[in-house]
Amino acid sequence: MMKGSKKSGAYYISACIFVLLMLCIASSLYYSALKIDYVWRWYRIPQYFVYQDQVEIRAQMEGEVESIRIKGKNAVIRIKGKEETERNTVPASGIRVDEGDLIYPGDILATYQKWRIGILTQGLWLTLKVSFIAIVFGILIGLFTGIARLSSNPALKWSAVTYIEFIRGSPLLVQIFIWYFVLGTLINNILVKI
Amino acid sequence: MIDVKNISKTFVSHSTEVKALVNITAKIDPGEVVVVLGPSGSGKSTFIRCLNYLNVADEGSIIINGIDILDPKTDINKVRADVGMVFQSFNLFPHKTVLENVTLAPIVVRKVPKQEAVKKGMALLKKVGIQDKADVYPDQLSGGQQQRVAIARALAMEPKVMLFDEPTSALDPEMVGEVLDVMKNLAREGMTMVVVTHEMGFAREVADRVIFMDEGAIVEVGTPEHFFSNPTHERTKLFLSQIL
Amino acid sequence: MRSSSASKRSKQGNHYYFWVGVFIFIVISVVLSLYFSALQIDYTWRWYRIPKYFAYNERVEVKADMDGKVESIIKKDHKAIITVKGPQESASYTAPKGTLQVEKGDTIYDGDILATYKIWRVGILLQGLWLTLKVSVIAIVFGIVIGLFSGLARISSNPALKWTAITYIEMIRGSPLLVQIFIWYFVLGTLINNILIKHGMGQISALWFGVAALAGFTGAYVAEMVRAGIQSIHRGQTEAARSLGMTYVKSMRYVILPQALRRILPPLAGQFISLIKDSSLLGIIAIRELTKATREVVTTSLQPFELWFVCALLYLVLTFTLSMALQYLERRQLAV
Repeated sequence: MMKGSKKSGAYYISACIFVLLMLCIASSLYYSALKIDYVWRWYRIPQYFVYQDQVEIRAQMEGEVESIRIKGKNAVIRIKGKEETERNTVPASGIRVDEGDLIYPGDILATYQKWRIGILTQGLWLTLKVSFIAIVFGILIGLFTGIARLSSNPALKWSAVTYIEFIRGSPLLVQIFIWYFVLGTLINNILVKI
Repeated sequence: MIDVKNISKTFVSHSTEVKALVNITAKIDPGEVVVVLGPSGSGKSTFIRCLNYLNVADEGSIIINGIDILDPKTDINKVRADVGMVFQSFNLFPHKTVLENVTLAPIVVRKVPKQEAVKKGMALLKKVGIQDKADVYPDQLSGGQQQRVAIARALAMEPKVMLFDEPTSALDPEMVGEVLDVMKNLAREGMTMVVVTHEMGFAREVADRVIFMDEGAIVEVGTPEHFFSNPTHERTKLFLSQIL
Repeated sequence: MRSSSASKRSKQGNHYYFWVGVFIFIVISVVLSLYFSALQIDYTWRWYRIPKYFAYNERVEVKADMDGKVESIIKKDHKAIITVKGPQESASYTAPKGTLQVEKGDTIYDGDILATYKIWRVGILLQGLWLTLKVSVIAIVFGIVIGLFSGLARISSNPALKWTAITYIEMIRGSPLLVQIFIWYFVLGTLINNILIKHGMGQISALWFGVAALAGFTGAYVAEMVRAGIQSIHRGQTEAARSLGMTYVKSMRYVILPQALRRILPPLAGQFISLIKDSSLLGIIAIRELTKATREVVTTSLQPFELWFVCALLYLVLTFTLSMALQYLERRQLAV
């Protein structure tokens, strides 16, 4: 604050010490894990963000592959059974059957790979969704409650105070349990009855 | 006692540069009372704050009692112990009584035993006329009383030079007199003083020399007689015509 | 403020008390609707089952675990020590005076009851409440220490100290407490305990990792309070202290910190109250604080409605008392 704005050598030495400290912490975590025979497998993590899912298109009836017509990237497989025909639209690159093959229910007609969102990303998305919806309602509730809190009307003011003190005085976890196990059971059971 | 050679100070905030001090050279001899005058923004506060390192001059040298305070190897705390400062906003310690304010630094910095510090402290409080308020907290005092305590606090360290940064500017008019009286007594006793002030009467009565600053530079230096009755520079004349 | 609302009251007269009545009506209807909707879905309210979770009278039976004869009964203070002597060995049993069911010389068989008495035991909910308080107090103490040093480091001009403090503060404040608890228990906990095993030392229980998580969490928030408190002190104070010749450390110790501490205390007390609520998350790693205790009791008694309200009420009692105490102290501070 009172020293010169010129950065002395001591400043850069301290900066290096900081970087060194961070590296030490990171590596000591890494190596202590190895010491207790923990196998680091970072390569297993990306699949929880996105992964390629193997999708199988199966036949639902018994019959014979009547025709495979390719239209652009997709193909239409027609299976002719005793009474009816089944048409499946599949990506052309993954077809596993030929014209004339005998098909039984459950047989794989085509497979293809599709990129799917992993669990972690799904969770992140849900976190964002939930937080956003909650903040919107929270702001509305808070706005009205805040104004009621300042009102001179005791019904409004004390209701607001009661609500605020209950919520601020108890843990969120307990409130979640009350919402789900008490209010939730009540509301859902009443809805069932209706 | 204080030898200032070619100091400059530039403040940089965001993208604007303010040249607060431009190549200032000044000398203050022991026992001298030097009053620094000038319009606001002239750099007088910056100048006096540079003298005890509260603002750090970008270049030049400031030698106090033979020690260059701009030298990084200097122990600035030792120098500051010999340079007393009185602030415009008093800056008394609100959590300590008047007596504790005065005795804190001697006990903690000079390691003076408490009894002796208290004795000397009470003597100082008597000197500034506040001894009956020794066990009172600063917030119960008037501005003038607080400033007198601040002067006693600075004197407790037995400094070789006292710096005053607009000591009466924050006071109601009726309290200015009591503080100026204390300062006049101090001057009479031979204390080396550098005073930034708007109180022309004080300058005329007590100053040995007057330094007039404008826009970061020293415009004119002279004795009070010369300065007030026969100034040389145009800007000095302009300033005086606005003030007097 | 007071006089204006009093005069408002006298001016409005009936209107004011009418609305007070409305409020009371609202409260009663909320309570009653909860009660009756529960009955509507065939929920049986059994409030009488709740008190035992606070305290109960347990029947203790002191049983012999060997065959023999009562050799002696020594009465000491309020206790009696029964010594049973068998063919090969003797065993001693302690019981409160006046509860004995045997006499000297009686023949004893394995499983015989030597004494029975009733003792008041603290119920699960109170145990949970106690653990919640314990954990919170330990965590706030460590949290304050960590926070003080981090706060000072945060405002230091030394980049090693400052950036370390910033990294710590931002990491803690940027992630959920629950995730931090998991990291402390499943990552650091596993690491530390396994390394301890390798060196032949004992294990650290989940409780301490939980406390560490809470303390580390609190520390980051306290650090910001310390920083704000110190920075709220007028710059002139530092200038005055330094111009008197005090070093940075001395000016902090005698001038800045004493003043800053007074400003830090109110938000600090608020943080303690938050800590008590945040401690409810520790149940995730099997620490039997109040919320976890409530969950366990709900499973065994199947009375979720009563128990969850009691749980919330207990927290409210804690936080409300502390809140009131804090307001009282603040008023006293201002008066001084």
